[in-house]
Amino acid sequence: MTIKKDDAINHIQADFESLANLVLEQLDQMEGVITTGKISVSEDVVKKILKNEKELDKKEVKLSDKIVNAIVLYQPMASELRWVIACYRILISLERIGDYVVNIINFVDKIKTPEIYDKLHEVLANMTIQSIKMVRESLLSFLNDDREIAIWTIKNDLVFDEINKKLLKKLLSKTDTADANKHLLMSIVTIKEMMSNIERIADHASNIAEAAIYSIDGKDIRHHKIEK
Amino acid sequence: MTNTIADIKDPILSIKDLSISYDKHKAVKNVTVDIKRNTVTAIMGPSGCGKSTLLRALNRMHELYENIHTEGEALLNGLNIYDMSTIKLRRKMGMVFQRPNPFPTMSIYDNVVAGYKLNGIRAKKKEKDEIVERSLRDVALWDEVKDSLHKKGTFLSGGQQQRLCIARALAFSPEVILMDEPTSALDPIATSKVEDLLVKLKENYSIVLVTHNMSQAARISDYSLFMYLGELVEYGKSKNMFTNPVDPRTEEYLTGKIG
Amino acid sequence: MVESIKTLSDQDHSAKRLFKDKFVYIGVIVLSAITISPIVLIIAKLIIKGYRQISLDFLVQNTPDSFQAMTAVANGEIIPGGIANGIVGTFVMVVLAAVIAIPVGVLTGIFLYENQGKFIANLTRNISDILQGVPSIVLGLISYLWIVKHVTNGFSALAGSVSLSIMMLPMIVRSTEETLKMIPQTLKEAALALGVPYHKVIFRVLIPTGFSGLLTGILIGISRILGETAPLMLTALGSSMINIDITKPTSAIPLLIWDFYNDPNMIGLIWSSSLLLMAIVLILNIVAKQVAAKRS
Repeated sequence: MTIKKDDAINHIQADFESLANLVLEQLDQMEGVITTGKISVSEDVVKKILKNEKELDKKEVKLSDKIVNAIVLYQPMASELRWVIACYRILISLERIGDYVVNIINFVDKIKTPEIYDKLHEVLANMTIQSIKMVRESLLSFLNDDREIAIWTIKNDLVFDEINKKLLKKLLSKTDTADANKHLLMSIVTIKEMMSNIERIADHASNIAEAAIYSIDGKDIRHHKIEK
Repeated sequence: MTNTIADIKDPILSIKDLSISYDKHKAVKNVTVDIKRNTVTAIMGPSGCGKSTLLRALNRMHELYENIHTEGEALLNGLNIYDMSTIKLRRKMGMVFQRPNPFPTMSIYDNVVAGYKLNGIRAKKKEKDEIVERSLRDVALWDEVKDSLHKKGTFLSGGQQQRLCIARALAFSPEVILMDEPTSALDPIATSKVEDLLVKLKENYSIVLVTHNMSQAARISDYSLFMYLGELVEYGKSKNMFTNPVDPRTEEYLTGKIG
Repeated sequence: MVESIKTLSDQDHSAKRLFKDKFVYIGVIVLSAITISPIVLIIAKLIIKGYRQISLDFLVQNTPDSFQAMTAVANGEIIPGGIANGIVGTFVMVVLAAVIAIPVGVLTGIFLYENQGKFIANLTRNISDILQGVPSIVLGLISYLWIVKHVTNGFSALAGSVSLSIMMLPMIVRSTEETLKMIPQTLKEAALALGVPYHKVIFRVLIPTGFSGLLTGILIGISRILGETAPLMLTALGSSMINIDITKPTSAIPLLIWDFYNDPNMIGLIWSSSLLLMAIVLILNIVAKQVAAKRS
């Protein structure tokens, strides 16, 4: 007598896969932009990405809802419970990935010095391709219950972090300017990093508040403009 | 293939290689498990898995039937249950059944002390009054029935009757209370009252509860046993078993693929 | 297809159906009345013919002799005397029969209940059923042989009681067994789980719980033997005095009715005696039903 539960879980899986594919499409678009190395992004691409982002937001809210319903109505247990909860966690990460894609596309547009971008675009492209590969593999590890790939992704991330740190230093060392400027640039970058992290803290505070409203009113107001 | 996850020190009940057969058919196969003191231990599994049979062996109810044979041991606080008289044993292990069964010819008062009365144990009225009040308070029935103690027990609602039966089992101050699907004949509110009661009672008693309702086992038990086709498949802390079962059969049962 | 359904639903057969209902209803009432009528007619006849004879004297005085009766009838008076000897005799023998039959019957019933399906139990049950079919006069003969000849060396109330008890026995055995079978198993288990030894479970839980069923069986058995005449003729014989010595012959109401029937002078008494007997049987049955209703 688990028809309804199995149906619900299958629907969640289908929705999840479609959402995941949408995120991968975004990532592909982003990869396309970065690998061209140009600092201008075509109108079409921007439009597509923003449209997808909107759709992603909608899907995300719907899927969250489905997951909560499945838990309360069908009380999944053991591996089914874990799968559903994992799905929910991944959903949050996918949403963030979607946001990052939009941000990155916007940043490309803001670069005023095409030469430096040109120098580094190969590195950036590699990084992009690698991280997209990691996302794809990790999603597959979830959908196919593949432990090995999951472990590979986690190990790879550590490597990735290392490369990231070294890369910035390399970036600066390659610029054609005085040492003092290099230090200044480094400091500005570091401060910018700090600001980004602080901003992220505020962002999370906002997430916490959205969750509070969900708890109080049962309304998921993520991605909605607050009227009152 | 029993995965005894928990290593129980000083168990109240110790079951060793217990097998029970009806004529030639083995209904319970070589069960070995320790039951922890002052906990609610749930025995769950699909219909026909042997859980009720196992429970009833613990207070030797099977001796009523000639065609049931038991092998193996069960120890209550280290003493073999077969080394004591059934009368002594059943005073240490009370039992509550699926359908509330207060004695219809007796009043509520008499039902609570039925164990004494029917055994011809004489007790002063004052002592009996104390036992009745204590037992009824323990099951949260005292306030509801204190003014009608001499009315027949059958006038109570199903949930109240079941609590009366629990009070009757408690009157002997047993060490263990065995319960065979005690709430399956009750409505949801009565069920939840009885469940709350069990959680409270475990402070002073050890409770072994057979249930076919997984959610109930998940809600109120500290430890769970999963039985399938007469075997003890898995045993451990409930919170682990329900999220992360070890045996694939447990997994299948919890996700509804078997049973 | 749809058309025929439509015409079906268009048809209104309710008038015909109502008539059928009424017809059957009246038919059932008439047939029930026919079934009840014998009892009603009997009681009516007994009352009409016998009420005048019923008085306190009737209940406390012994039977008159033929001469007294003859004089009374000749003078158009009520026959003097009463049937006290019969009343006492019936009472004594019925009580004694019950005392014999109840323990034996109940214990046998318990035995059958405990050994369902076993050969010995089935055999016992079958014999009990056969016993129920033995003609009452044959039982009287048996009792004559066993008691009159060998125990009391003469007709006696004891012999009468024995024959009556044998008649009652199968009814008690059966009703005990059936009552016990109807008690839910779970009550037995509850008592056992409290550490009550098995024999106590039977006598302190099962029997009290099934009490009304047992009592009904006993009362029905009693009301059956109240009117038995043939066995008493061979065992108790009769007596013109009140007699409570069970080793001596004694009277009984049915015996007296037989005597009155055979004596042309006393024939007037048969109506009142029968009326009294019927009244006792009726009251007993009503009481039995009340007990059963109250307990359940």
